[in-house]
Amino acid sequence: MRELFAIIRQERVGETLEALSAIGVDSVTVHTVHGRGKQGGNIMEEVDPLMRGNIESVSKIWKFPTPSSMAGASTLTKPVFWVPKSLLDIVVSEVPVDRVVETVVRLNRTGRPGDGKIFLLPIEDAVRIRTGETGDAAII
Amino acid sequence: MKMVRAVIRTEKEHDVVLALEGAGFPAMTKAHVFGRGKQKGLQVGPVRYDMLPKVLLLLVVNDGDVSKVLTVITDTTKTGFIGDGKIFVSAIDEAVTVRTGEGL
Repeated sequence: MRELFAIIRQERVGETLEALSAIGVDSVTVHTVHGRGKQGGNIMEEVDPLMRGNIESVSKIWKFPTPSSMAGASTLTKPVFWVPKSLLDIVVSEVPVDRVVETVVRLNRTGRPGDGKIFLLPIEDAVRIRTGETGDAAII
Repeated sequence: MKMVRAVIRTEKEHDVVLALEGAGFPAMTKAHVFGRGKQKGLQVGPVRYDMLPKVLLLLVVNDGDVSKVLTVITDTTKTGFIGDGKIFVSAIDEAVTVRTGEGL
């Protein structure tokens, strides 16, 4: 049994869930979370020429990004310290994990930063509360 | 690789994030959660709070960096009072970057 955390773009959740359902993964827990990656947030490079190329990290511009500190800034868009993301929490036993990973990657890949990460970790046991079944039977 | 899950005080969130970024760990996920501990919440006079708001930070780091991350988080969030939070560490056996489809 493996657990799979997929942190993906919120707008791709619907398609991802449909595709997962098609390969036999129906049980998913979705969390709405906030995330930041190597860039430390989103500096809106694509829409704001001032931001392009020369800024490594959001928090280097705004150590404490409050509405008042952002009000004086003269750029087109304001860097975002936390990016809204969805975290899909999936436990699989029957369906091969590689297939689930491949599906999530195929549907969420845009090639731009912010596509997300997938983490895999081992699960020792699972229990279906309704019947008390344990192990693989609990999640099939 | 290890996944570090830290349940911390909400008011310490920004300090911790900046401290972690300064230590070289800018990537993380946060969720606003409600939880309680050994004391089963908080009693203030006649009012009982069953669940207290907390921030859950989720980081995945290399094995060798875990102690450094734990030090940064505890140093920043520690107040010495009940409710400072907990940190849990679990093993990650694989990680994939969606943009490239490859492992980290």
